[in-house]
Order: sequence, then structure tokens, then C-alpha cells
Amino acid sequence: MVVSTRTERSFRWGAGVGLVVLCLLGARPAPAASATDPAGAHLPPGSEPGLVAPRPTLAAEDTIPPLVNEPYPELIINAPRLRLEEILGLVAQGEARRDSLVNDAAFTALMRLTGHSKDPAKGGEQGKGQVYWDAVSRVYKKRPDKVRTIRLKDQAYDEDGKPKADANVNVDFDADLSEQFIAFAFDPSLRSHYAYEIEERISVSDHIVYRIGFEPKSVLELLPSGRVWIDTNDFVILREEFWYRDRSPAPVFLERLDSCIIEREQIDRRYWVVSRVLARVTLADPLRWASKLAREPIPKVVDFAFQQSDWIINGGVPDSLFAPSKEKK
Amino acid sequence: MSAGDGSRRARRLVRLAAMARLAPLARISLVALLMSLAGSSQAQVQVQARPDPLRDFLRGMADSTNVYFGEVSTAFDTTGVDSLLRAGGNPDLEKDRSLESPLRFSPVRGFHRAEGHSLGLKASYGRAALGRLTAQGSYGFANREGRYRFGYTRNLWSRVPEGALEDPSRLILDLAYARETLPFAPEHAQGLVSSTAALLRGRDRQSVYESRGAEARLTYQRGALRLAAGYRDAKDSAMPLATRKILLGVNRTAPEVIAARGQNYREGLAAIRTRLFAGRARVGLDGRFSHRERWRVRGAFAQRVTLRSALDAHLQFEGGLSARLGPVQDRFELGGPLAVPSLGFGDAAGDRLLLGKAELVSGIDLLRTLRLPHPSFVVLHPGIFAHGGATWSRGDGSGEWNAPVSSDWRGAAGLSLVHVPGFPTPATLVRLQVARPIGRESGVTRFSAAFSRWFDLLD
Repeated sequence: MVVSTRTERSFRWGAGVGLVVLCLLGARPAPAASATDPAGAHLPPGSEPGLVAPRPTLAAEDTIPPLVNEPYPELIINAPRLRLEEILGLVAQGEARRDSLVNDAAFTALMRLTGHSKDPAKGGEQGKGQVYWDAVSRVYKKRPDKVRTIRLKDQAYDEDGKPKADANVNVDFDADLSEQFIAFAFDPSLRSHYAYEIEERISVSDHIVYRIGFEPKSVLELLPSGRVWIDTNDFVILREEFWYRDRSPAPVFLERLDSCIIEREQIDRRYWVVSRVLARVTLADPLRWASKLAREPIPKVVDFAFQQSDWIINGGVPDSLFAPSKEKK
Repeated sequence: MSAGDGSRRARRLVRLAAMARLAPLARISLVALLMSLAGSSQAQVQVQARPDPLRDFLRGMADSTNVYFGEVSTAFDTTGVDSLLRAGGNPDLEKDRSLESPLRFSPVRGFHRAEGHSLGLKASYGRAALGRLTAQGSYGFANREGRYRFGYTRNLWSRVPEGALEDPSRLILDLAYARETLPFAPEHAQGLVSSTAALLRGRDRQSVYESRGAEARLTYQRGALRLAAGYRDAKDSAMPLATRKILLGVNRTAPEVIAARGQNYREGLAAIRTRLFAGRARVGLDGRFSHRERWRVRGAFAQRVTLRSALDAHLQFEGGLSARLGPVQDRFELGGPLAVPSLGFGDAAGDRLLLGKAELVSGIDLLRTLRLPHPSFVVLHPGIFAHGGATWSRGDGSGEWNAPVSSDWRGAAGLSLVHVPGFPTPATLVRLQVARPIGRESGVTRFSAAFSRWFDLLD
């Protein structure tokens, strides 16, 4: 849904008052959104407005349609719209700022591996997979390099869904509190390898969200294609999808990566964290042959789900939690 | 009254109110009253269609994700998890973890015509607080000699930069005592391919030498930069041909191993290694500075140019300098699949090196394009290449620079097929190439295989 920021607030105060405001403003909802105001929604907090030289821009703000279906004169907005290069740089800065805010964190990590005997892309029934592995851990991290993982559940299942005695899966978390991986396509060292495109601008409440697609310039690059949703208030990535649908980075193992989706949520109205990672992978035949030889057959299509919940950020994780003696007990 | 009629009526009323010359407060009141009297259809429509806040917007997309992946993949079973957390964890799983040993073992195996088959074991034991101890031993069945390495590595200091966009800076201590088999011209060596070729064909010419001694080294690491300083007390010695046996019989034409110059040395050493990225270009520098006869510096530059989305040009240049009176095992070589592939290992060696490589690779899947039946995991990219360079050694050691003469230059051009298997690293390539010599003394038409990367002079 696309409505300008101030307009929405006006409706909160009352429909009549809102429309009056519009009238008083001369029925100019689009500029009221400040979508192109360098001092407004487009620059991160702390940035200096006016860094970008104003350029005349046609007021055909494609993401903010008029609230009232009346023909209105075309408006000229002198505020600049951010260019793609500026957005890429600001996202890298926004992600770095996001990482620097987090000193310690605790979360519950839930992991699940689901196999599909029939490929959903080829007519297999969606959602009718078989759970092969389920695990839950509580993870504590603290800068600079402390990490403690408490395993709560680790259960593997066979093809018939019967629990196995031993999961044979060992997941360890590293102490890194940053989420750099989500911004891989915006990493300065990779920017020259990608072609980017602004696919859509979406106004959501008082946020302007850009959807940016990225694709490697060369098919020989070992990089995925994808798209990200960027909140231009904080210049953080809200969601990311990437895939290897027409080629594989490791054809001996993966036939294709149909989709990998990374979702984020905001904790305490301040910290953006990865809430879920979901991937659907079509495995290559050599890997499946090897699994059969090892008497651990794996299905053709596998879903991997990873969820982080019950976050406590900067809650002051005590150092005693990371004491080696506790881990030995 | 339809919603459309209502909204038109409401808009008309509001417009009238807006045009009325009333005080602002009166105008607000009037319009609010009119809107409520008119049923405020338009306002209702707007209120009903009020935009979701950001959380709802994200949740809407998450719902689509749930539909795509299905409930089985996205709905987690957390029964009993809270109780286990209150109890301090799952005792069964914690028990499993306590049985995990920090001691790791891995096999060591190889084949070389100077060693024959070699088999051994590597063990490592590491804890963050103590550092890592490694012990490795193997036995060569043809030369009947053992090889071993005992090492200790400890991270003495580290600093995580603010923003966490860079890797931590570290200061690492390495202590080692080893008796090892090392290759000549290591930047162009192909360990696995050489072992396989020696085993199957017996004609691989990669030369090796023995190095035995102790070394203490302190390395500062920041990003891709490594600066090291230390002390080394060691002895190099030659390794002669020890076996002509190959997998399918005896190959009496197996070439001799180049004899390394035996040398004892006790020396302080310094080393630098760095890799810089600028767009799609890379620059690398490797240097080792120790005894006046044992310094060695090498630099390389690589650039990828995408001509079309399915056509890349890879350009690489390499230059090297080593001590003029240095041992033969420290010289640069022009032979081998990574340099001038029409030459074999050991050909065209010198203490100066210049090498240029140009490769044009297509992104198409050749077998699929030719409609040849093939497994889906075999994807071959065709390419053409031209490599050329020179190695030379002249001068009396006084340090003056001598440029190569025309007879020093050698080159090759040919066709290649590139496969990216995705292991042991995602960047690993298998390159099959047929090279034809260009110019005199440039070798013979030669088929070769290599495990490498796109920018193999920098990795």
C-alpha cells in the first residue's frame, strides 16, 4: 500500500482533519511525503543534508499516487532523488553502523532440513516435505570474540520420519556479531562485478523502501543474482532474495539454488537482525550418489530453514557465561 | 449510493470548504463536519486502505515466503525447548559435546618420482587459549625416508575494528621444526596434478628438494596484508629420482629430478604478502628477504574484462626477481601449465621472470550448446589463450639490471576447456588445455591439466 507519511499521520488524527491539511497544503500529497527531501527520509540519521546538489526533478513520484483522483497540475520538486551509487554507498555505511551498535546478543536459533521427494518446480506438491533434521540452540555472543552455544534439541529423522538415534550434525556459531553477509552484493570490492537496478520504490508508513535488483555482469562470475529491499530511513537491508537458477557455483554438489531468502526484523525499535534464512536447493546427482553409498540417501530437493528468535540485544551477557569451565561440565 | 458516488460527493464538499474564505480553524471544523455528514465515503476508503506499517509490510512478504516453502519447512517444533533452557540445556546433547575432542586427525598421502608413494598421518590439537599444536609424519616408500613437521601456532593479539567490516588484525606466533619436501618455483607448482600425472604417466617433471630445519616466525596480519619476521636454521638438500614405477608398470623414461643446491643457512628473515583489489583488478606482492643469496620478490597484476555477459577476457602479468647467486631451487621457471604450457616444469629457469597471460573464456555450456549428451554437473566453458614470457640469468651479481634478449622469450597459444567443480574451494577451476609453441625453443605441442583459479598468478 502506498500512501505518504504525513498523510497517514493525518488520518490517525481523524479523517476530516487529514483532508483539511491536504486542502491547506493545496492538495499536494506527493511533496508532503518528502520522498526526495535530502534532509528527510532518504538520508540516514546523522547525515548532513545538502550533501547532494539539488537537481530539478519531475514530480511524477511513481510510488506516491494522489489520494484523490482529480487532475492536479504537475509539480516540480527541487529535491534530488538518490542515485543508485549513493544508495549503494549508504547501505554499506548503514550496515556498518548497524553492526557497530550491537555489543552482545542472545537468541534462539532454530534449524530445520526438509526434503522433497518430488521437485516442487516440476509438479511436486508444495509443503509436503519430510523433515530430516531439526535443531534448536540458545546462542550468546559478546564482542570481541566470545560465544556460547547451549544445544537444546538436535534430532535427525530417516526417510520415513522415524527419529534417528544420532543426528551426526554439529552446528557451531562463531563469535561474529556482524551480519555482513547480507550486504554481500553491496560490498565495495564486489560492486564492480554487479549490475544493479532500482526495481521499485515503495512508501510504507513513514519509510521509503527501495527494491534493488542485482545481477553479475558476467555469467562466469561465481556470484548469485538477487534483489534486496532497503529501508532508506536507516539504510539497512530489510529483506534479501538471491538465487542460482540458470547456473550453479558448485555443479558437483548443487544443481541449482532455487531461492534463498533472508528476512530481517527490528528488535527494540532499534536493532535490525536476521530473523529467518530459508533456502531451497536442488542437489546434484554426484552428491546423491555419494549419499546412497554412505547409506544416508538424501532427496533431490532440500529446504533449509534457519530462524533466530527471542532476541536480547545489549542486555549485558555476563562474561561468566563464556567461562571454559562451564562448557566442560 | 455507491462508494464512487459517495467519494465524488465528499470531494466536492471538501473542495467547497477549502475554497471558502473562512478562518483556518473554522475551515477545519466545517470540513470535518461535512465529511461526517456526507458519510465520508472517501475517507472511509482511505482509512480502510490505510498503509500497513513496516512490520506488517515485511510480515506480508514473510507470509508469501511461508507459502512458497510450505508449513513443513517453516513451522518449527519448539515443544519443551523453554523447559530445557530453564534447566540449563539438554543434558544429553551437552554430554555429547563434552566427548568431542579438540584432537583432530587427517591422512597424508602423495606420490612423486623422488619419493614414490608416501603415506602418513596429521594430528592437530587446538584450544583458543593455548594455541594449536600440529604433528605430521609420512613415509616415502621409494626413497625410504620419513618426512615430518611439528608446529605450534598461537594468536598473540587480535583487534576487531569498529564496524566489523574488516577482518580482525592479528599477531601470530609460529614455531616449527620440519623435514619437508618442497617444490621448485612454488608459484607455478601443481601438487595434485603433478602427483597424479607422475603416478599415471610417470613423466611429470615437477622437481622437489628436501628442506630440514627449525623456524620461528612472528606474523602481523591485517586484511590481506601479512608482514612476518623471524629466524631460520635449516638445510636444503637434493632429492634424486627414486622410482620409475607407475600405476600400470615401469616407465623407464621418467625424467630426472633437478638437483637442488645443498646449503646450510642460519638467517633472520622478513616476508611480506599482500593482495589489493581495485574494481575488477587485483595486485599482489610476495617477498622474502633473508640472506643475501636467498631473497626473492614476486609481483602480479590481474584484470578481468567482461566483453559481453557470456564472454570474459582475463589478463595477468607477473614479474619476479631473486638473488643472482641464489640456489637453483629459488629460481623462477617458465614451464608448467600455469606459465607457458608448451614447456614442461623445470624448463627455462632463471633469476628474472616476466610473464603475461591472456585468456578469452566463453560463459556458454559447450556440451549443452553442441547438444552432446552429458551429466548435468559437467559444465565446460571453452576458451582460447596466449601466454608468453621470459626468464633469464645474467650478470656478475653486482646488482645491475639486464633486460631479456629476444632469445629469452617463449610463448604458447591454444585452446582450453574450463570446468568449475565448486570444490575444494568455490573458486577452484579445472583447466584442460592444448598449447602450441610460438617461436623457437618454446617446447612442443602439449596437453596439460591444472587445478587453478581464474587469477592463478595471484592465489
